[in-house]
Amino acid sequence: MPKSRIIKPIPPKSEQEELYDAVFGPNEEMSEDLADDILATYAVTGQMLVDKFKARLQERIKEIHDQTGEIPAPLEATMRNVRQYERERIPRTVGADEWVSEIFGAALLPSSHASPLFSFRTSSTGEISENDRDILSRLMLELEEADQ
Amino acid sequence: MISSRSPAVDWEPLLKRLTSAAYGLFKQYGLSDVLRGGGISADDLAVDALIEFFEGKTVKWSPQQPNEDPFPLIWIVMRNNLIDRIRKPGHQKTVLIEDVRKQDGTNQLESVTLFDSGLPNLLKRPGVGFTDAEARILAETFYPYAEGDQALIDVIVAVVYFQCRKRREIAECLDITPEDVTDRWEKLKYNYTRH
Repeated sequence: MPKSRIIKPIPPKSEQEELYDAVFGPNEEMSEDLADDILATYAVTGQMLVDKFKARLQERIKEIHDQTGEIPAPLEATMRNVRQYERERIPRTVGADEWVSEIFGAALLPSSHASPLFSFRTSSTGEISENDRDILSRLMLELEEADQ
Repeated sequence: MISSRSPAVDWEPLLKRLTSAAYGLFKQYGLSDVLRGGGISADDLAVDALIEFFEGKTVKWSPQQPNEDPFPLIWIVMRNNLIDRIRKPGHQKTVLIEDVRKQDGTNQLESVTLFDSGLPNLLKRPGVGFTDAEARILAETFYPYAEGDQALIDVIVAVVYFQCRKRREIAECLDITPEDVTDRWEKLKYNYTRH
């Protein structure tokens, strides 16, 4: 497979740029953490950038469409990809019951984990379990003994 | 082509890294937050380079690995676009007519920092190396970005006085690891690029 490349000529780095690279590190090296720190000082968020990117991408697609009458396939695919990316980032809406059940549900516990002595259930789920009944009986007994 | 490049893209981190690097480029070229004459900001520069990259007309992206980072290639597009814009006559004209004179009529170049005015002159003879006086001037222009941190000052000294340019050279000069150099560069870059 051919290597990635820029088709137009690339001006070589000047001595000044090389000096900057040596003092501050190559400009083309940027970690996400450092980017977060820098952008925070400009009050720029990632969502603002994604929104701007989407808007500019739409403008560019329209511009090319107006000029050629065709929708540029690569940019259309990019737009679909960005929309999909955003959809995947929105948390799934979950009902309160389901959410609480997920927290306490045994499915979340590893198989090696000791099983709890209680089981969470809502009033609509039905009778309490034998374990719960046993715990409650013992607690009642302890309370009665404490009173005496 | 696009189908092979799009799925692995994590847009938000990529845009954040590009925009931060664009702020760095703006500072490096002595530009304010919005490029004069062109009216574009650092985030415009980043977004436009990203679109150009995915348009695929000026860049052929053939990742050798599924999760290959496109950032270095997009950064080149971004830098080229900035250089093109700076070279445009409109940009030069705007700077010369509008920016050189202050409101009181004095020449703004007189108050340009030593680094901005002196560095191009110092760099005219890169092969010769700097004289002691020149090196001191140059080092002192970078010291503020170290903010008194001796570890960061050491990097500047290694670059200016010992002519180290590569990560490994700086690491050997300071007897530290290349990873240490990367950590120090990150601090220096933050101090330099932040608002």
